[in-house]
Amino acid sequence: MAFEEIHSRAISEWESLQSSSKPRILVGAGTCGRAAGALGILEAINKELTQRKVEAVITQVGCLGLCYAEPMIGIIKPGYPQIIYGNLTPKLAAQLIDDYLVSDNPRPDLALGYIGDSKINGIPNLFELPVLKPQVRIILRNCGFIDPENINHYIANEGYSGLVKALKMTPEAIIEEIKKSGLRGRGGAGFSTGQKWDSCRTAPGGEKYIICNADEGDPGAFMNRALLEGDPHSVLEGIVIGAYAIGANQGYIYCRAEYPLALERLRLALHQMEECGLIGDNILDSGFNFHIKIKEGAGAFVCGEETALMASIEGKRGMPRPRPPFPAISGLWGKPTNINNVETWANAALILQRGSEWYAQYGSERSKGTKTFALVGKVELTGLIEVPLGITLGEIIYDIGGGILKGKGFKAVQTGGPSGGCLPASMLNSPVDYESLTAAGSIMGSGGMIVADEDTCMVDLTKYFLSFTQAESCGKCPPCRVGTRQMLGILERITQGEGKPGDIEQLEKLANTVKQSALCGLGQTAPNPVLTTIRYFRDEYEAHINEKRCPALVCKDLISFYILPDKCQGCMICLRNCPVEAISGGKRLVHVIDQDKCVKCGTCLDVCPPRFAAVAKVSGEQIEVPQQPTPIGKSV
Amino acid sequence: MRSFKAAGEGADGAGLKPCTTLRCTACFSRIQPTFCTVNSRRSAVGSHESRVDSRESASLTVKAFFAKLPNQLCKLTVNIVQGELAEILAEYKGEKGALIPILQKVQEKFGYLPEKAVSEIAKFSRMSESEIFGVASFYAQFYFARRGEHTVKVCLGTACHVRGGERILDEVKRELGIESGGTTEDYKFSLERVACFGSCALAPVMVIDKNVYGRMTIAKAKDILAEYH
Repeated sequence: MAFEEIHSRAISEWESLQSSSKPRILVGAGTCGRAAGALGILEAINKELTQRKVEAVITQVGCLGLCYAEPMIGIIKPGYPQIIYGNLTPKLAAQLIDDYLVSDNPRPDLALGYIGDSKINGIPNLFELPVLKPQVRIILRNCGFIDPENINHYIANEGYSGLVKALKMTPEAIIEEIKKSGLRGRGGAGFSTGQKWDSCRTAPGGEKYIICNADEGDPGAFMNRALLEGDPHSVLEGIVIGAYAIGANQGYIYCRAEYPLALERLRLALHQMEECGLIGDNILDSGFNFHIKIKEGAGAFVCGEETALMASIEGKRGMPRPRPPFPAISGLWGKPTNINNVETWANAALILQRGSEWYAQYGSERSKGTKTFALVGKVELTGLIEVPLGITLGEIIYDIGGGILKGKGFKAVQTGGPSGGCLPASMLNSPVDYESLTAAGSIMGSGGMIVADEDTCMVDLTKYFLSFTQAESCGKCPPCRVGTRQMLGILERITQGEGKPGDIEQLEKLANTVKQSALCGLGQTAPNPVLTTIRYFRDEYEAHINEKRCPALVCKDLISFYILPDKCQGCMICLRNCPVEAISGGKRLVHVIDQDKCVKCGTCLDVCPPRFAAVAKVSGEQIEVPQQPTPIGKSV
Repeated sequence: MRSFKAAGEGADGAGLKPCTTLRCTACFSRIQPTFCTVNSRRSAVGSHESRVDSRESASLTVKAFFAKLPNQLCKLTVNIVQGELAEILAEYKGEKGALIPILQKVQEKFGYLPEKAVSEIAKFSRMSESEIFGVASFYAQFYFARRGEHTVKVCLGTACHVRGGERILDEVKRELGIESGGTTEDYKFSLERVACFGSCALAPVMVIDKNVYGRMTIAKAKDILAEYH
């Protein structure tokens, strides 16, 4: 079938859907939507529709990125713009069907916003909301709007037009176009994609491979998952274009097994591509053959590193090897291999669709285009965002993220996962691009952005990252294997209140050694959290070491809980909830925590009614309280 | 490859049926789980604890390693294992780099990698058992001992960490009475801590089997676990 035919078929399907006389309901059912209860919502809607005898077209779509408002649905009534509703429960969703579809009340109280040209009273324009206004959604343009399991939806929205264009160009011209766009690798290191493709293309050897790295292992990052779940074809189109430009006939997608939905949608998407002749032998009658295999990761963080990933595809232990030779010369099975991140491939498809000039209008001087970030941690509006490079950290956290959770103070933002660094408030005005983040001691990384508030202990957070990299170190090179273990040991001592003078200097020395001598990216970047927290939060380390105090009240060995005798009303709530029965007391008796039994879980603090606020958490000090339960009101 | 003819009841291979004479790990076991070396040596930190300490694995032969595990398979099960394995292995005949997908398929079938299966895979892929074991023990996904019916995974990714995932894990540990990496005595639950599920916006997150539970609290964790009891 010629592409024109496929295209016109897709357009007519899409248009008939748009002009459908039935109302349409879009349910955000990505993994995060499902975790928030999207499938329950779907069930409730279906039930209500049958009961009310209303006919509607229901589509499961990917993530719109407003994760804080999950579960979400969109409703399009014929003749009206789409309205997005958030924070639904099955009951509310059923009520909404009743109110809007049956009784014509759009329920502005439940709506987040509308999408479209005509206005609806009382509901704001979704894209004018502060959370979406600074964003430029070009990679995520389809997520939340098209059915990811229907290739026609993608094709009807410019999909595969980039591939059609590319197949009429010479490979050199495609690579030139990618170079002109200024696209840099979105996996984190930021190497020029065009140059990478070029060196693989010109590498000697007939058999070449293409790999899509979807082993998104950074804790706190889910951009690739959302893209693969919400718009898998955009990634696949990029891969086929890249394969044609480089001259590869076999491709692999290495996706982590923790993403079952993404894997399922990829498999389905590949099947549909095959049916349309967009993959396989003689793609769109161009004479170009290309096949893709999906490889499931088996749970090893280091396999996100390119040489380790290739070892894993070959069926070996996922251990990195020294470079050079770079994969472009000798990669998978010793053949020239080009490996790019999920988002890079999606960018490549977009560049071919709309041209490098259009693409280069976004971003800053040396970092072009947009970048998706997973904005999580202690921000009000967590979610998946896409911003032009060059935006400042402050704009992301305060404008898009809506500031810090519960109005607390900002402490740090962590970019680049366990390989990145923690940046303090003084860096909020620095732009988000490859160079600025590196200069600040962090890295762009794949796009995790974790916000820490005043209740986060930076030493504890560093210990957390080190325990992660230490456990994930493959053990091949001693700097990483031994160095991460030693640094973790020191950090553990510090957080247990056994830090010694000189520990900070020792940490710095170890960190610099590991950074310079480790074999692969995991080891070379593992010390970044240590170095940046010492650079920006040295006072916290000093408080732990010199005063045996955790300023953020996090490190369990350095904090204690007390029940204040002048505030305790003897209600017994904490006593009943304490998991280790460390609280003694009785009705109308001031409760007492047995400090030897206390495991510092904080349950008492959580359950103490706010109007009493009788539980105090302190570090580095002792509060005088009675040893035994005493009647309320008696002076201590 | 050798093919064994299964004898006795349940020989149709339609599933692992309880064995009447021998009590084996795969069908039914009364053996108290003395946790295997891998489990008991888990370090207190790190997410991929099922990975064997590299020094230890070097000093152990494959045989000795498996001997320490509470695996006792009856003949019937062994036969079934071989029958099922043959099916899985046939799919991958002649494929390059198929070891990891094979291991994944085998584990999907049996819940863990039985010793017998590893030796069959070794024969099939013309590798030594220690090579297969070397690959399998590198990845966190593979287990060498029987797992609980439900796998509870508590996420301790960065977002979950800053939002109190550790407290959820502590609660689940107390509730089930096992450490992370362990399995309850009745083989009902296995507990794991994992690095990230990619549902960070709903942190802290807990996953039981394939169900993801977001915005966890200690009280919610208790209620959810009760649903599976």
